Amino acid sequence: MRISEVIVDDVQQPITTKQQVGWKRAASIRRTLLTILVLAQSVLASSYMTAVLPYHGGNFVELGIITLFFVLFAWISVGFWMGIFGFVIRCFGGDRLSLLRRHTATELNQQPLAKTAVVMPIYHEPIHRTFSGIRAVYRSLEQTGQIDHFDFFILSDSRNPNVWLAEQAAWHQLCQELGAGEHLFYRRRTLNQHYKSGNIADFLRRWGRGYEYMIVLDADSLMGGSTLVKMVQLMQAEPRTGILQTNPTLVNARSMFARVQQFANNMYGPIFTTGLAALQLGEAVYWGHNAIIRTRAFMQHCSLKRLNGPGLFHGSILSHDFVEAALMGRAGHEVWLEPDLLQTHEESPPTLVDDLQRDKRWAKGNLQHLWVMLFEPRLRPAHRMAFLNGIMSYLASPLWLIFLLLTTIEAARLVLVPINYFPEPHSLFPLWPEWNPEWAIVLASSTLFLLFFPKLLAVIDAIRCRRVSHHGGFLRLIPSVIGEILVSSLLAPIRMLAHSRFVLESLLNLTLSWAGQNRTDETRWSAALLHQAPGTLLAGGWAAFAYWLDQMFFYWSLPVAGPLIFAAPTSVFLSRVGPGDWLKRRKFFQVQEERFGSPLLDDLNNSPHPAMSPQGRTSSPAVQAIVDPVLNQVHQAMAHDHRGGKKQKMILSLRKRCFHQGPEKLTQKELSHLVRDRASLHWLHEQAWCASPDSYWGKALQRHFQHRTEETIT
Amino acid sequence: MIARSLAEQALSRVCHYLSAMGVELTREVTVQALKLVEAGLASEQEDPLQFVMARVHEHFAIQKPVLPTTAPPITRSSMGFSE
Repeated sequence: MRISEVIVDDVQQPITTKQQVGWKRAASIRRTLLTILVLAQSVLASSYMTAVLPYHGGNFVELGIITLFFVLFAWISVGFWMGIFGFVIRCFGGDRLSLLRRHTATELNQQPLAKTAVVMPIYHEPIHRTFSGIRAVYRSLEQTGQIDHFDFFILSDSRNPNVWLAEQAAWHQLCQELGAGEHLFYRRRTLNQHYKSGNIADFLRRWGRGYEYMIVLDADSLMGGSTLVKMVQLMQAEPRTGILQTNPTLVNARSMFARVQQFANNMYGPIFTTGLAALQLGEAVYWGHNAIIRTRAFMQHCSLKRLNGPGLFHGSILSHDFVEAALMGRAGHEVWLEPDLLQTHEESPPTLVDDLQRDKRWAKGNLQHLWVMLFEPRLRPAHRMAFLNGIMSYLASPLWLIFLLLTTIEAARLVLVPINYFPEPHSLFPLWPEWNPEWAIVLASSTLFLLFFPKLLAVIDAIRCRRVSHHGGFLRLIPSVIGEILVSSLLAPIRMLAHSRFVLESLLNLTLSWAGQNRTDETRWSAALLHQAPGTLLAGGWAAFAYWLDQMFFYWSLPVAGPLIFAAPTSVFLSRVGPGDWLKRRKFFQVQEERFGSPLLDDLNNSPHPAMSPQGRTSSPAVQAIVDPVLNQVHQAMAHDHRGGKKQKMILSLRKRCFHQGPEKLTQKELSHLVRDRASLHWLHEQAWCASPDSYWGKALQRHFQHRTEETIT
Repeated sequence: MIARSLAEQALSRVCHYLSAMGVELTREVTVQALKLVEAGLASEQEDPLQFVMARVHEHFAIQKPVLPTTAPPITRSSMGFSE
């Protein structure tokens, strides 16, 4: 199928060519300008680096240093100029080419709404938070009076029966509470192929045809009803748009780590996102959630093939979103990032350990994109650049590590190896090594300028837009910014080392265990020490070597070695909720929602659902599924009938074991087989209610009665 | 804790079951439940708990709970790989 045919087929109302030519021309100009600025700046800085080095690039080590410096400097220059672009555009009142600015509020409100599915793929997510989030979004949408145009789908890939039984119970409870029986659905895949993208594809194959649009939420997403309505209106007004991505801001943070991330996201986010959106325009990327998708176009063009390359580049694509945006772009549709759509949120991982755990998955997923970037035909150059950007997000770390290694070799050579004045044989002229530490300081300062100047611009932007009060006023904003810079500087070397390891693991296609995985909200000392031990030992050894080698080199190593040596206490301290709450009460690292409140967040946090939270349960979800008469019927309605054969025999044997010993004595797989069988649920329910008071089920019933009585009293 | 008699256990189960199924425990319903328990205790062939729970649906007007629709009707279609 040719692209032109696809467009004619999909796009009902052709857009005026003027608008499309307008943004494409602007995109070319802006991207060319960015490329010139970044290259010019990087070439200049690299030539300065050449001058700083003792042999001015006269050996392989120095050539390596200069090459890596060029790549890394160019990488941070892109971020720097993106911030500058965003700041300038915001000073001029925003990007006139953005989708939202093309239409007045009246024009948008006149757009008829179309049937939209709000889908939330989940996999072993915290049930209370997930369902409270759906409730908050649903209620917010209800308040707009447009709920009839939307259906919600919870798409579960959970494997543990105690998790998915709890999900089903929570879904039922939510339907009852919201009276949402006709708009809130639950589907669980028994075979979860191709991860999240497979889950979405499964939904689309079953129900996609019935919906013009699909809004994808993550388990921690939170979106206002008016935003959802506006997104549908924008898609209706812009039929060429295939994906419209919002810019979710972080909310609901409690631990120190999450609060700092949340503050940085809210404080610096506006200028960076505006800059990014201005450079990408109609060739933006999809971040996998808090976005609206034109269902038909997505189904037609965005199915993901398995990668057919070697090692890492073989099998399912782990990070599907960038690829789907690129496929949408290839089919002739536009993908937009709209930073001015408000009331779109997500949450930060609570701890550094959780953050790195997520990065581990993302590192592998982004590196896989190299294959797509190089070999997928007819992708737009902007989307190939987006892949490169994603790859560099992780590849920059090992490059930095190698850069540090080469500088250490260079320093060691200068001290330990006698100076060779005649590196070239038969030369009459000696080569004198020159070392200018003051030039190195200038170079380091310019790098710091690139990293921190956009943050200063973000503060100026906050002052200009009267957002200072959102962050607790000027007297709290400045210490918060300094605190954030301090924390991000402490975390940068830790992330560098962790990302280097993730990249190496991914490239070798290894799955090495990462010790001390954190399952709670706070990181334990033992886990932190175990987790950070390799980095601490490596950095300690490096710093000791630097000290032995040369005192000046030791001082240069400290900004990297220091944070790695103290990584464990940093990780533990940042995971703590106590200091986070303390700072919140004193309005440090404050964000807009904390200052002015948010109905969405209030709804999320102030409506406890005892049955959804683990604290509210007196027995496991499997026991509740059997003893609670209503829940038993809910689970039966979602279970299957088995027709006999070997499986039926196995299920009959499991039933008996479950009745005599309880579900805890079954393996996860066995329990899963059992509670997916409708007849077994029915049989166990009947048997449990007739069981002797001293039996397992008699006692389970007694606990259930007590819990219900307590619930009634409270 | 005082050990409860079988009659108490049986009555407790019937009442909790009815309550969970949305039946209001009025005086009449409770009397009916007591009669069922009495019949269960009088029965010599069957365990009283099994007796009462096997007959609870015959003795009381228990409505089936209205369950929400799990999913809308499937409108099957396919995902494409168009280039």
